[in-house]
Amino acid sequence: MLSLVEIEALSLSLKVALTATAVALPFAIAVAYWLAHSEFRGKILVDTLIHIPLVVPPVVVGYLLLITLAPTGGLGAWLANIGLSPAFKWQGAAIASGVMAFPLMVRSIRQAFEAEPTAYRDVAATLGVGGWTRFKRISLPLAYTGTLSGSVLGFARAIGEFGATITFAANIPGLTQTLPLALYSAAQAPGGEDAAARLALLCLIPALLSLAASEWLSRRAKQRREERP
Amino acid sequence: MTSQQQPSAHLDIRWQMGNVAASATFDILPGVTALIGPSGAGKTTLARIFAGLNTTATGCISLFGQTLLDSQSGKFVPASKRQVGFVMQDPALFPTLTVADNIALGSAMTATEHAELHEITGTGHLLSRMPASLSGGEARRVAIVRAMAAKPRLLILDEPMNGLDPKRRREIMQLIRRLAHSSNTPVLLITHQLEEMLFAADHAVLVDKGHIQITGSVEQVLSAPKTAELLGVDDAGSLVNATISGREDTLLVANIGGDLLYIADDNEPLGADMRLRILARDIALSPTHLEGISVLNQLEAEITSIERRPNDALIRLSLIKSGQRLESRITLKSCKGMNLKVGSNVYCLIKAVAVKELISDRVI
Repeated sequence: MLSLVEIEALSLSLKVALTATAVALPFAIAVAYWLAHSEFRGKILVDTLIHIPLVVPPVVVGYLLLITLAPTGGLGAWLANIGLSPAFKWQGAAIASGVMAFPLMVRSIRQAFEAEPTAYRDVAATLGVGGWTRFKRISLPLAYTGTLSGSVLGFARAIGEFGATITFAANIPGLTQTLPLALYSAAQAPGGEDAAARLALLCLIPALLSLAASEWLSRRAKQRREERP
Repeated sequence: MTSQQQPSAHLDIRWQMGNVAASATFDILPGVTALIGPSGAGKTTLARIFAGLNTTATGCISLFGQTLLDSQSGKFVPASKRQVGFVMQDPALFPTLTVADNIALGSAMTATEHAELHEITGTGHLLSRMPASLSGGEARRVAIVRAMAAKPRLLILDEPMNGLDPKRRREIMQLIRRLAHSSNTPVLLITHQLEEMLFAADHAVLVDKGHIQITGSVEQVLSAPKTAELLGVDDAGSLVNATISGREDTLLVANIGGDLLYIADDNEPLGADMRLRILARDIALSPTHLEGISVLNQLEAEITSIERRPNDALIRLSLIKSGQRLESRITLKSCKGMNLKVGSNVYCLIKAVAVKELISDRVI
């Protein structure tokens, strides 16, 4: 069955991906709502910046994180001073995964916010309901399924993260070696074929489950929109 | 009467409707004002401009003396600060909130006021329901209650009866009148149906192709040729305000300023104020009071004008006791045969079943 290293990699992967999703989620909701409901100068620029992790090689993202947050960098030096340096720790892997998952989450959640009928916004305005109350009582409950779907998608992305993680957090067994990193090491090592196959399977299962769940949720959201009176 | 009323709101606005430069200048008076016109006349756009939901118009809008829009000085009060209630064609109840939460969300009412509002509108039993479980009529009523709970200074209703069956339409129209009169909130009722204007409104503004055609009392707008042209008024007729003064057998006695009219009983309580519509074709004329005929209503009137038309004659009458104006449509042959003249007296014969009760103002 699974070796100790593999079990460690699995539990670390789950911890890293769950943390990454949970921390990224409030930011993703805020940015998605902002982009869906406001028009402002520079919106395209903000939109582009958020989507960068989707299109550049993940190693570039890892490198950018490294020069910003490593103990030698400005912000990193300050974090290291107060004992919170994330580089080469599981928290670092979570940051790298979170950054990579962020644009996917924003896209999915934003779609849900944009699907809110304008009639609801108009009615809310004429009732004098705006700002936080409108977000909390109307928009977010309506976008609930889309938000959940975005989170699951983000989790799937985070659990499969490789390039940014290995660059920023390194590949330290038991510390930062998540499933994809363990698979990489196993594939490099002589006679590691069996371990690599098992690890590949372990990578595939949560990814497939998450994708299926995300798809099911967005279908349900669409169905509910159509059923609405 | 209407000319003495202080306007609640004033609009003087211009906006673009496709290639047409649209404009509108009119007052909204206390009570219910119908904004009536054919589809595509610009009614909804006008209402959205008033509510602050459409920001493309120029000009000025004021409500109870407060400037909501003045494009010259650049003043624009956003929709959320206007206190103008807006009920759209789509009730747009928030689907994730119960009826009670939908109403409470923007409410400025106390618990007692809520209870009163639910009593007037008959919505108390719906409070725990989810919007998806409501019927069309119930959803409209809840949307109106939700808007009223925010204590708007003016309420706009955009075709609130669209897609409802006649019974539900009548309920909503009665509700609109009751709310407008019990809360003193002026109501702007957008409609393309003459019937809704007749039922529910005190004043009317006829709009077509982005321009105001006529403003005035419902009677004035109803009798204008432009209204007939745009909305196809097939039958001339009169609006009569009456009070129920008695009940005989299966009939109600409606008092029109001294003249008594028997009408079909519709379970109206004594003392209720009603609005009746009597079509010109339902009034026959006789030179004398007739005995032993089935027509119960025989009211003496003076002929004020005779309009001979290609196929018939329209006789305008003024009842002797009350001065109430009526119109009668008779054939040219009868007109000639009876030798009718302006200034002469005749009896108006009106079948009780022909009188259409439009609306009752009773407050529950």
